[in-house]
Amino acid sequence: MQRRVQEIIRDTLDVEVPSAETDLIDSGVLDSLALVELLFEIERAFAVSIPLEDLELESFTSIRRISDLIVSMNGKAG
Amino acid sequence: MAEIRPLERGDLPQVASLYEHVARSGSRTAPPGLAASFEETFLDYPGADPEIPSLVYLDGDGRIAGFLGSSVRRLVFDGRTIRLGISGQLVTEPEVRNRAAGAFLIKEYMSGPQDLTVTDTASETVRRIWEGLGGETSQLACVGWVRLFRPWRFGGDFLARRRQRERLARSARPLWTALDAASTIVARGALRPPSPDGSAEELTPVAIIEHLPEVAKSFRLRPAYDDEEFAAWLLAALAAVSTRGSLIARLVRDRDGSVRGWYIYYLASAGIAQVIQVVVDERQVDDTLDHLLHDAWSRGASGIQGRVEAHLREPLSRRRCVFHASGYLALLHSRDAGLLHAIQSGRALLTRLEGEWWMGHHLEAFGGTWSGTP
Repeated sequence: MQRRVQEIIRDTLDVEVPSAETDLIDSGVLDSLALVELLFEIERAFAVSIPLEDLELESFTSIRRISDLIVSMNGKAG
Repeated sequence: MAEIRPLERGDLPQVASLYEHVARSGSRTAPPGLAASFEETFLDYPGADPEIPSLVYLDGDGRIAGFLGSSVRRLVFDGRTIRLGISGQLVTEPEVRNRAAGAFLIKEYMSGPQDLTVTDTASETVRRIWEGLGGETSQLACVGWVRLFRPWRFGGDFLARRRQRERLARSARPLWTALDAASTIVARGALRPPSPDGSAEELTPVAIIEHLPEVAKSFRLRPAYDDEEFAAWLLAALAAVSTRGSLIARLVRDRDGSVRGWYIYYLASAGIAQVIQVVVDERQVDDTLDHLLHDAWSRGASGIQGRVEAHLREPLSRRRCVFHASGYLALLHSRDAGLLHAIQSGRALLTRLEGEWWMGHHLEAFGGTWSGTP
């Protein structure tokens, strides 16, 4: 899943993130528009809907955390 | 680690400095009254709701690098009271814009307990973020209307404002006045609004509270102005935005003395009046609109403009008003599809007063020398 998130970031934002732990916020990869575009692509790719309440700053700090969020969303859906 | 938390009183000097830098003069030194104005607008107004607070974004070093102002109003929707969160004054330091600070502030605010969230001065970028987070655009509320009375002066004032040549506009006024007088004769009454029926009197906070339930009863969604202290504060806050002009607020009665509605607008020194609110029974719009147009004309306005609302669209069209893209985007968010449908289908009385457009934080001097352009 982390590899797929990495691909989505590359395709959506045209950015290569070196590792699953790279801080996306501190490294300045995500501006506001990029965030909502990424959110849209992730929801589409993984067939999940991320409620606003679950979309926290910490959830988007790294590929690993984004992957964790998707897993938790899938768990809720199931 | 960055963090978003509710605005605290001690944050106000930093927030004022940030706002001055990003939205006003570019300086880091805010004028003396700006922090106090934020304090009144976002913390101390009657009916302030700590459950729906303004928000600050703290960067990794704990400095305030973003702000989103919150004003809360109560509305009545299908007979029950709900809460409206007005999102405004969104500013972020340039260095946190590539950290999605604006989007996270909007998201955090949308996630609050309010039933409806609005903003009415959004840019195209904010619209894309807002819609990406599940909100939507109120297309009709993005449309403005304008009625010209004195077209030469209107055009002259418009160009002067755009090019910030107020002195030139003042010196050219006699020429515009002469041309407008000639145009009025040639146009044979098409420019001058007809004299209205009935009467108009000063709108008071007590009158707002007394008459709103009856006048606005046909709307599924309407403001709940039922607290005199709040209504008085709101009128005073409107009047305090002196850069927009003198506040005119009039209650309209028909020939029999029955209340038909009211209107609130700014009569600007540059001559273009700006409507903030028209409250009417949607089936009896004519008297109030006629009084509004005639009032603005008789006070010397070169024209008047406002935001299109569904129940005003056709009556405005009949009164030679022209519709145009206002340049301000109105955005909505709610978890209640029925509430959104009531707004988008024109069954709501939501005006500029239930928004942030009229607020003067980017315009007023606040004891300094800044003078923004409305």
